[in-house]
Amino acid sequence: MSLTEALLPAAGLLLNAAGQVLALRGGLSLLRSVFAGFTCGLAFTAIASGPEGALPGNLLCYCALGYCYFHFINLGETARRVRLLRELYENPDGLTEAELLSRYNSREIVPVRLARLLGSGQILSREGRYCTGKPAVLIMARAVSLLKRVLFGRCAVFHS
Amino acid sequence: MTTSLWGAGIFLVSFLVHLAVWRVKLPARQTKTLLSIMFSALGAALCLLRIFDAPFTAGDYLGVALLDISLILSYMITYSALEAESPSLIIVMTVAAAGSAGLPRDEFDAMMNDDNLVKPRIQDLLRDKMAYLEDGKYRLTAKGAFMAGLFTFYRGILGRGKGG
Repeated sequence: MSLTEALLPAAGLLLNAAGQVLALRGGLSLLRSVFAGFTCGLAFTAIASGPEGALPGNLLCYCALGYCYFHFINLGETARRVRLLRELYENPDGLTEAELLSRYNSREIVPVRLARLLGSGQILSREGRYCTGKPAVLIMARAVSLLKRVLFGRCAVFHS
Repeated sequence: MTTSLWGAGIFLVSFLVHLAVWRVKLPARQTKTLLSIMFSALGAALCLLRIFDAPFTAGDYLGVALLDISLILSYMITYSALEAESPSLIIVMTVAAAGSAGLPRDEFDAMMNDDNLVKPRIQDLLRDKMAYLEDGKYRLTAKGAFMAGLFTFYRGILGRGKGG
């Protein structure tokens, strides 16, 4: 493998990021722009690697980097820690816990997620109660719990 | 193909070492320990390949390293998601735990509070040395400011708001 061939997945990632930003700026939704960017980078990496021996490794490497980029975007979008960091970043003199919670709190976090889960039918609202609806997110949650049990020996909700 | 097998193999070995260490004792600073294990394994493997005079070109070494690093980063990002439970998954699991009768809304509202959803994440910032507490105020460390700056900059490029 030449140095150039080895660097193709990294170049694919750059193309992925550029394509995603352009697609988002061009009017695609965030999720679609991520798919569009990923496809651009994947096509580039596959074509530039050629049918020789470098292809499987480069594709695996590119997919792993694309997965990281997707999570980087997702972290900025949904992660509570990132949001807390940004609140502190905007207030260099510091914030007390109460001030921090007045800027970002469960009253902001829960309704957005709950609305999304109700809208997609993952949770149903019936006679003043919330019930399980479609199982997709529940299966994901159970898979995460299983992984946590393997790694940490626990899976409790609200464990910090 | 050889470089792919080496890259994936080094990651697999370091993953198994990480599992074994975690089974013995959960480290206080998990991310730091995980990175130490995985990058040490990569460094050791590259040194061994060099010492035993493996028929590798500079590009092969780079390919092995890049593949292993990309797998390490993928795992790290997944691991951080496991460490801090997603609110959506918490909501779904909480509702599921109530069974077929469902969870009364007032009980649900009482459970979804700052103590469960936000305060543990503030403690994470202190534990990961992203922030420190002084005179009752939280402030960012240099590491926290770098991370916050990175996300602020990139979300500016994307034209997105504060998120969260």
